[in-house]
Amino acid sequence: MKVAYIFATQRHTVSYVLAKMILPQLEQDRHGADVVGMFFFEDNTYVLVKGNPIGERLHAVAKKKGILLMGCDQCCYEREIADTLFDGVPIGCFPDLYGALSGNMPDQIITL
Amino acid sequence: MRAPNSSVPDSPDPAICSGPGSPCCGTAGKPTMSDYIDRGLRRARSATLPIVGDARHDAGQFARFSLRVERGVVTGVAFDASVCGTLVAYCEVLAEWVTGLTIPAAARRIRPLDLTSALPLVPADKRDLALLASQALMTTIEQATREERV
Repeated sequence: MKVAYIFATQRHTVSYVLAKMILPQLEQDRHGADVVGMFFFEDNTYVLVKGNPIGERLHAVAKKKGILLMGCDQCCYEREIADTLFDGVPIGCFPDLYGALSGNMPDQIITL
Repeated sequence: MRAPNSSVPDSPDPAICSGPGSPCCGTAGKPTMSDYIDRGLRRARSATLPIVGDARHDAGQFARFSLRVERGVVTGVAFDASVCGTLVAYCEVLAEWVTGLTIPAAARRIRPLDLTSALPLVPADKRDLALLASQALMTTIEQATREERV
């Protein structure tokens, strides 16, 4: 099964659910589903900034597995980080996300 | 009366204020990308003005401007564009730039490289939208030029 994650809520979504569950599982090839994309809203976009330690691991595993990473464009502009993201990580809105996923559509999109 | 040693300046600092048309209390910084998106989304909901240019399309995005010109001066700018934050921000910057200019001055003001420089946060893969916005406004300026000659 192919899945995409949308990180929409803030609290522990990135520091816990992503960093301590999804990411280690992806690094160990035992997540149980093929992750084709991850989209980040609001403060979750900070994980995509170069130098973020969770982001460094995420970027590495995404490159290895061909996972699309994308930040919400207006969220990144609002935080003035749009030009500081990891190389190759785009920003965009829903049309960009759907367009980017269209060649490898997930079976499920999971909002966290 | 402000407190001694307050960091609030006595008058707006021209280096940080956003210029004509932007209310400034002297503490406002330069408009951010989000400011332009917010203002652009509001402007995009405004009514179409009398001089309507052709819509320009590129890579699934579009932009179309309309103008109000009085005695050769651009007194109003509206636009309709794909709801893409970057494109809306570019259109808004252009709209603010040309408001109050004569038609020839407005035409000279539309320079895509200046536009990309105005919003340096935009990643390289989105900067083509500056060209789309500029072309859309330029067609409208050309339309205005033709109508002024009639």
